[in-house]
Amino acid sequence: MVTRPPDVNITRCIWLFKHKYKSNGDLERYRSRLVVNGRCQQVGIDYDETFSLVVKPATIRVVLSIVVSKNWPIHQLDVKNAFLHGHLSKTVYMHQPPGFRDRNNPDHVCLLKKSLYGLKQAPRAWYQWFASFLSTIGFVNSKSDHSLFIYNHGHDTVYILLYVDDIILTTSSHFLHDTIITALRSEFSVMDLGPLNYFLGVPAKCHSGGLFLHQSKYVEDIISRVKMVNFKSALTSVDTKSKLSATSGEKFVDPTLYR
Amino acid sequence: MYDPRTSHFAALKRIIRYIQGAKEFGLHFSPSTITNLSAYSDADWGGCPDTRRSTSSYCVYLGANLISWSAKRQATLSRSSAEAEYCGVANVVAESCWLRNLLLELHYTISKATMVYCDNVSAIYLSGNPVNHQRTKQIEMDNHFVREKVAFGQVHVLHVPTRYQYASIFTKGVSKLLFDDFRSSLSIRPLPTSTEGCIRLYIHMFTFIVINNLILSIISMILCQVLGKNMSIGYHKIR
Repeated sequence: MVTRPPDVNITRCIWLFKHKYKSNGDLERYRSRLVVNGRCQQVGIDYDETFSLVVKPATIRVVLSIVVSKNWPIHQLDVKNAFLHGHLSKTVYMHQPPGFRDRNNPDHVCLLKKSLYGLKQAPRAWYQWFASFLSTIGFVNSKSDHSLFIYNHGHDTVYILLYVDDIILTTSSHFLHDTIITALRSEFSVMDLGPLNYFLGVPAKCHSGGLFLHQSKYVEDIISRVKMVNFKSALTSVDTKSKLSATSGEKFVDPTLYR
Repeated sequence: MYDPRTSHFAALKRIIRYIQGAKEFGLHFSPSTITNLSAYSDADWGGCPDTRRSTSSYCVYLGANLISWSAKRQATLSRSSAEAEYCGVANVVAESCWLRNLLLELHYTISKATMVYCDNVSAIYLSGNPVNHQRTKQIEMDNHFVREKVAFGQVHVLHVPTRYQYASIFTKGVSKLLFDDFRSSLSIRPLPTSTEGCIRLYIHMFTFIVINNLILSIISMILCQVLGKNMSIGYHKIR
């Protein structure tokens, strides 16, 4: 808490309340989170670079293909409150959070030491922190995909795929898996969610003949949203002779339905 | 999106009806060798009726597993179908170079050349033969890096009959028979539980038949023995 400096941009913040559900639909917990309105921030003053690297789908498939062929354990990890740990390179001020206003100093503002959800630079700050920690324990950042981290020492191989705060960890042995988890726990609050079963909204199913990725739940959601549940299903996706033009043909009466 | 037509809506409905029928399908990874990359590349020349640009598509396999695919309208206009196909080959060679580098970093170096399958003979000649003639001199320079890759032995461009050109599923509508064939070749298969169920059913049927046969043979053996005895008894009696 500091006195309000003159001529600075002070970001607003709000509380967000959310019901968190487990993958089977049961209520897990109620979550409240203080988020910053990133739209109040100005380029160059409050933040410089914003990008956060996400893993390419082809990289995930290459790694999955290797893992299935080698029969390695593949686990899914979750980092609690990932974005709250990043260090800020810029000075950011924020209003006092609603409901927690200091009676004695109502005009004071908060000077942020660490990153908060909603800040423009939060994902990048998190990525840099994670990447720098992994490099200290011997991982190499891939040049083909910056969200892929590789550890290779003799016959020991570890791959880590990072998609914002979702992590896939695969190791060439179970012993190595435990070692890596212990190392990660020393720095982050990591939860091991067990063998891969759900990543980026795609359920994965391990069985004797390999690995199977499907999106049947997503398809059902789309069909129920467009109210086409009882329609007859088509055998192929497009007509054999259709060529669609952007400008010819009758105008459709209800464009919002199309969208 | 801002000015939809009736035909667009019909196509959209068709896609939704298709995914409704195919919701049990998914991408399948099976244990396979990770030493070779192969790719299929296809293009339809002048497929877009508004701009007359071509659509090129490809799919890339690592061993037996599908790992990358794309269907995209080309950025430039082609004067011939060979040029359109050649641009498509250039796209897939670029993707396979990236995949080779990725696999190199993952410590699985691909020593063999990437096999690129294309159904256009002229495009294959273009990739191997560094001559320009009247009909191909307009091809953009950046597409000719394919020739360098072929000369270095990293890529082989080979011919495939249209019947086995899996990438054509991305560029045009194909018949039901071909569609199902291509789809299963792209490792898009139904949920494994249902196939296991099938196998279990077969096993049940098989055991049922075997047990039936066993029971039948036992019954016939007993019958034979009993009858034989009776017959022998009868024979004795008669004698």
